[in-house]
Amino acid sequence: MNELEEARAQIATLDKEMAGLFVQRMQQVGKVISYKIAHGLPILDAGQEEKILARNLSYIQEPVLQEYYILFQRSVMDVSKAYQSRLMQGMKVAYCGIPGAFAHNAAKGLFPDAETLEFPDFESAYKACEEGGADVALLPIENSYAGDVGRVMDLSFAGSLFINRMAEVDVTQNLLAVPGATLGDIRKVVSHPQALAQCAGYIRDHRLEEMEYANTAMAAQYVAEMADKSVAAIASVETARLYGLEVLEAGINATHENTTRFAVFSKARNSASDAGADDHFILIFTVRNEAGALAKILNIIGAHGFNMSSLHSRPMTGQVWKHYFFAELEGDVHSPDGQDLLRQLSTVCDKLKMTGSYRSVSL
Amino acid sequence: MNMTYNRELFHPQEIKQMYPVTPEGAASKAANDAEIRAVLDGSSDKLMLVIGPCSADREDAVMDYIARLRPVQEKVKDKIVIVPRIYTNKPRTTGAGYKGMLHQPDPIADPDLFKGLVAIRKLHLRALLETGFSCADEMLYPENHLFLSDILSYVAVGARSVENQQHRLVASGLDIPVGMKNPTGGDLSVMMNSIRAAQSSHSFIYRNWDVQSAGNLYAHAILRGYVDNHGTSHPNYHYEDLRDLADHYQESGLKNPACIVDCNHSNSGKQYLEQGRIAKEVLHSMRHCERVGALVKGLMIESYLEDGAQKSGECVYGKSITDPCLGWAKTERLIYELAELR
Repeated sequence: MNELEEARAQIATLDKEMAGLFVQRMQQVGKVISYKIAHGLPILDAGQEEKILARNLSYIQEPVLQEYYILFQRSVMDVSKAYQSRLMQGMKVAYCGIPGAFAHNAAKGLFPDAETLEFPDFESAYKACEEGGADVALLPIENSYAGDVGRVMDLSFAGSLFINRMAEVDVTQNLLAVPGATLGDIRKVVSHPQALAQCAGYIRDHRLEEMEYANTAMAAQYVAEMADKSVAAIASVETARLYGLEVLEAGINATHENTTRFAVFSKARNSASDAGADDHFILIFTVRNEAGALAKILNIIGAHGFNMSSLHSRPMTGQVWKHYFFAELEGDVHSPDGQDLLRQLSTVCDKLKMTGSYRSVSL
Repeated sequence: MNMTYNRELFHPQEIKQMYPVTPEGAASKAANDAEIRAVLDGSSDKLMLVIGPCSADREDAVMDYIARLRPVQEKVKDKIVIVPRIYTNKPRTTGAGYKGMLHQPDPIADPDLFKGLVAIRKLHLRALLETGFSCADEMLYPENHLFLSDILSYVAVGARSVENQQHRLVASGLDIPVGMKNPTGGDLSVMMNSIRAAQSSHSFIYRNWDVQSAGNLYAHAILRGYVDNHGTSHPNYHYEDLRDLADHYQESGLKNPACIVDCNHSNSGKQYLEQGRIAKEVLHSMRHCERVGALVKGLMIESYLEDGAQKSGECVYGKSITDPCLGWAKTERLIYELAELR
């Protein structure tokens, strides 16, 4: 070993020791925060910080290194504060809707201990996660009966988040009305367009007027506030409880295998450390404007034996007659075959984004 | 047409973009190319050894083998230029059996040419980037050369292909040396005609293009022995054979007269352990006569990690699944012996 290699080897050894010390330090930080939570103390204690800094600086003799040590110590403190903040506030889950919406139920099911943050639309929930206001955003990506939730796909195409988890939530739609109303009173139904679509047969058979609302829970809230016996909401049973409505008729959606798939978006991409655990992945791509461009891509995917469970084509906002594709594939993208696939597609596609890798779960 | 169109394949340009040669890799190849050309045009008196498995059946074992060649090459670099064989497509006598990594990237699974095309590029590329060797392959399907044209340093045209028009034409358009084997029947004039064709310029169709080749002045002879009318193997590496080839070259007026002796095939009668003796005998002939010494530029040896051969289902790591090869211990010893004798 020459001098350079020897120094690098020494650094590697020191890094290892520092990593061990880092873990120990963070464990102690965890104890401090438990104490602070128990005693109602704030995380930030500026006076304490300066005292620690001054004390630790006395361990360093070289003046030049002291400068850098201050920077080092400050960033250690920042890291520690970030960790404390996380422990104290818990995880934040952004979703679209209000309490009682299917998304809210899904959030509670997936992250029982987390704090749920409601947003009026998909976009603001997605943005909140991108900007750090939420750890994850939970958004519906597809409904087995009424099709895809295109707006969420558009956000995945334009945005920077990854999908590391996907959950299927069985959806049962119910007819909810104010107490005292009977089936015969109902003339109008209010709900999210997806829910209306899921119950289109029921609505037609009963000759009801439709009214769209941003989400099912908001529709229920509206019905409760209106206190009009001729107006009903289509929503979950939980929503009826939340807003004091009665279930006039349960399970009015056309198919009883009505599943909504929720994607868990987050800033960090799941690394391959537990490769083999994921059995699905999502690719978003655009193709070159030439004959056979899409066929070529499908040909490559087929050659690798990945089953494509869905392929959606969506118009690109602001660009007339231009489309992007949203494909879900079965298999492990972290496998050598998956990596080959990505490498080959990235040459052939105009744009390619591996947007998610996950193992599907049912709630 | 009585065939099913399974799948459209990549264009060579696409696959080169997907699995590109790095600048370091390109530099290694350029250096190797220059060294090989110097051997063939006589400006270097090193011995060229085209050495490696009969067929590159699996990436791990082949990479293991080629990585072992690197330190050996460093030790003998003043005497010997090693060009590892990575033979990714194999002609078969009846067409049946293992056709090489191009057809079967997994030798015990069904053919998959889409994956095979990627697999052979990845293997050649790994060899170049990890060991600095730009290797040799057989040009069995001339249309496919373009998939590897930025990685290979040497190709051979086999005994069964050497009379084929397209092989000769494409050989005339390559920028790396092409070795033309004598046909299985042993007729040297067929081989000399092939070399002449390869050294000349031609217009022809290549991959749906009207092309004109420049002529390849580094096309040369490979003697691999022959089989007579009764199916008996006969060698053509003996002193008299080499003199005979020198005469052929003298009459021909071809550029860069050169011969590589293939120590296996009909020269050994596939008695793979004879390869060492044959190699040393050729070196002896070279010392014996200046004309022969000037003509013979190198040797081709079939060698792998394990001695002999196996059936393709046996899956012994580093043992040939086609013709029997010399194992690693014997190979390493032989290379040092050849360096001593040189």
